[in-house]
Amino acid sequence: MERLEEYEILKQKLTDYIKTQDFLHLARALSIVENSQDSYELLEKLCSEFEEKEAKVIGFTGSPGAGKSSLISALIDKYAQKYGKVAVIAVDPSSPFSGGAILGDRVRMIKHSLNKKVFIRSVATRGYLGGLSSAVHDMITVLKIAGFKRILIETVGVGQSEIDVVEIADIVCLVLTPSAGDDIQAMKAGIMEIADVIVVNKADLGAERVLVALKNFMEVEEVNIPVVTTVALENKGIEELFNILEEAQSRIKPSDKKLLRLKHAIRSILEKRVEGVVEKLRSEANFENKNFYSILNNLKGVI
Amino acid sequence: MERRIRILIAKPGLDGHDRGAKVVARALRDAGFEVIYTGRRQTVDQIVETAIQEDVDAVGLSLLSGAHNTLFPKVVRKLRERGAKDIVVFGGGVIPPDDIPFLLENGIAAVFTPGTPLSEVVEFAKKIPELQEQLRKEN
Repeated sequence: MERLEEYEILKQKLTDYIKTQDFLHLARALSIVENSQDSYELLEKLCSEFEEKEAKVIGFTGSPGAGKSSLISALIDKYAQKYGKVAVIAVDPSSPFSGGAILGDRVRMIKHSLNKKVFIRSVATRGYLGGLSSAVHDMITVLKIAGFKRILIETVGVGQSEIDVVEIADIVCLVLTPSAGDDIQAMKAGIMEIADVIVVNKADLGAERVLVALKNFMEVEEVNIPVVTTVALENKGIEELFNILEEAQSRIKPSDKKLLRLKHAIRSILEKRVEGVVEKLRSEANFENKNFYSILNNLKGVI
Repeated sequence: MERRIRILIAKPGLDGHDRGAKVVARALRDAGFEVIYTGRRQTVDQIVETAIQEDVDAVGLSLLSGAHNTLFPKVVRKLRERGAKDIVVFGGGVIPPDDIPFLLENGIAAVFTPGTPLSEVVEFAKKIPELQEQLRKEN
């Protein structure tokens, strides 16, 4: 698609959404941004014509199975009630082999699918190994223009995504489970830097041990991060978590995040480019030639 | 970022047998498609709204309860009513051969019955962009 045509359609869809509040148009606008090659060109134009309204992004991270989707599902109603509408971006990994993905986070949020105040979108990482899709940042921008005041991001929960989510989200909620005692040990280096709020979900399985581990750890590190225990499926602790998240929000200065976001955006653009080159190499490499170094040598021009 | 074809795999109605849907979802993933899975026992409205928010290119319905003649065309109709003119709908499950012509006449692009090789479903899925082009002309 021509760049200009692409932009005109994006603009039209977003205008239609703002006018009608019909998710059909918003969903199409997000696809254009997600599929665009150099989306920042589109978005620069978009931001010059539309107002990017004040909004907060809350990132949820934690091991697979910790209950991120269920927690978000439980929180959705609170956000929808307070802000009129709420958006969720749920990220799942793409297969590095086929490029395909199974996006299953919605299964836990399905009860909201007919709620006109709740917009949920599943996103595959598309080659960005372990991290948030490079499109997520752009999709957030579109959602802000669309008037969402709160945007919840669910990460893949492993690898690069912890670092990504800090750069993209205004506050980060780390989701642990009672069996996470060892996780805390393993995450020591990163955990305190990334979490603004810590949740111990599935607390019905007995949260004491992990709470003690957290307490000890925070004492040693001389930090104080709010910890909330929840049972997402029974809606326990959700009210408290919501209040703590909202409170944490007000402590964050928007300017603190700008540089981090820029860093993330630049990195994802570079990664996209590098991936393009790798793809090109793959298609141009002559594997008939058995010697690895000869293959590389023949690729000199491409690199 | 390159465009990927997005497919919603959904189970409308009341039967709880989702093995088939999951096997197809996995085959499509391995063929490079992005598959959104909703879980079991979805209403037609839930499926339609999910398809719209996710902006999928196609919806694959799996049904083993016998209600396909009612539910499959209903999904197509509601999608079109909601303004999703170019989302391809296909289906699978325990569907008697005699019912297939009716479904095809009512907007279902393909019907896959037990025993269909997964490669056939994948081949079909690769044609989704063409089918969308056709739908855009028709609707």
